[in-house]
Amino acid sequence: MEKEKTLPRAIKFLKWVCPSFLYEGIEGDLMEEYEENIKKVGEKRARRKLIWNAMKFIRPGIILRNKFKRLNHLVMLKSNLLIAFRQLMRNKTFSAINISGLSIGIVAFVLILQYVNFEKSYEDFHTNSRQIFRITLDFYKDSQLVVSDCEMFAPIGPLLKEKYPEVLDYVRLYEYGRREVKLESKIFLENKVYFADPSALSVFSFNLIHGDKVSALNEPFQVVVTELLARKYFNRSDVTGEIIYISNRPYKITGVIADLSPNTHLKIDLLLSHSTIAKLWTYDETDFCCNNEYTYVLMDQQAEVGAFNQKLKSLSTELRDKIGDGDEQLWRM
Amino acid sequence: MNKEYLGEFEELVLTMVGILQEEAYGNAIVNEIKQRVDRDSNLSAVHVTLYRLEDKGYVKSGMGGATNARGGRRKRIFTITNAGLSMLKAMKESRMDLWKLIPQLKMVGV
Repeated sequence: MEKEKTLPRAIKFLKWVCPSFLYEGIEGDLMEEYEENIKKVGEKRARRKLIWNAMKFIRPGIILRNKFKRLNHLVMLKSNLLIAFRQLMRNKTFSAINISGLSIGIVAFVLILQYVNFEKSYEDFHTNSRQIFRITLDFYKDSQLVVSDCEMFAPIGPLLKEKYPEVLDYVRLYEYGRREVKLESKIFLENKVYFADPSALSVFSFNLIHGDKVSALNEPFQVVVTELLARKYFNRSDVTGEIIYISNRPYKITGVIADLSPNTHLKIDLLLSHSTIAKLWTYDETDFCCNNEYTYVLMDQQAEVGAFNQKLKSLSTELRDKIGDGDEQLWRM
Repeated sequence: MNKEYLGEFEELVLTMVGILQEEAYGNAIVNEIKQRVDRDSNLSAVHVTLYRLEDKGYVKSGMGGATNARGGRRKRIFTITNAGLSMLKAMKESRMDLWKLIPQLKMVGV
């Protein structure tokens, strides 16, 4: 009885998983074998063998024994299947119609499920996706909605961040459209080219593989490319430091981001530094002349969308004089 | 006519249960197999096989008396049933029938 205390852990585990009505016989056999082994090969090896043999008992034939009641159910199932099969054979036409109808239905269900899942997964790879909002502009004329536009005036982003504490950060994207990209001997045409504030790399969860998050879009004529393009241009991933020509202007590659998953509305090929704009043409960041900037704000977690929308609304009325065409506008997220 | 199929190891274990009679429990069967056919078998494999045979109705089991050698634990003693016996017999006979069909068995070089 004294041996009970020194039973190896494997045996205790076996006792736990093994059906109790089998356990005594099994343990007895194990101990008997153990005692025989002590005489044959010595205590140490016998104990090791005991543990190993106990582990071997942990198998479905033992653990799951009598967990499933089999016989009767199987017989009934078999006869039911047989009857079903005979019925199918008897009414071949209707069986075919029914089965094909059901399969089309199931296929449609799976396809719709896939589609909806994909649609619902939009932007979920951004860790802050619940806190990022895009500012939208509604143009009214005589209280009639004329058009909604999601591009904003350049000063709005900085203004919101300065004025409201719940706005943690902003990102402006200025669409540069379709651009020609020239390397030494090759010319490419890229569709989604944007000027972006440096904060784009911290607000959005782009996976920056090479380059520095903080400085990658700070200076004029810097560009961040996707890995796909890096491979297309240079056949390798780390292309930081290379120069490419975009619309005949030299840009230095300062970062490479992993290719974006397809479930995002913001499909990007090239991100150019926002400060480049002023070097290309006359551009005043404080001018309310034109709404060309997709403006995203990163809100505080506690911030309420409804309340902030009210603030935006009153701000838009307040600033109406500054805005060029004088029409009534409402801003919202 | 045999719908049930008996595997090779199952047949061996079933035979051993028949041989050992009152003393047929897991460990004894392992030893018996080692002794009679010089084959190492695994205690857990033997146990699983015994339970499977019990499911098929070829053996039945009950707890035997306690002995000191096992720290007072009782043995699960297996006994062969009539169905098991006739199954063994049927297998042996069908094998003998086949054996007879091999023509002119001669060992070459004896």
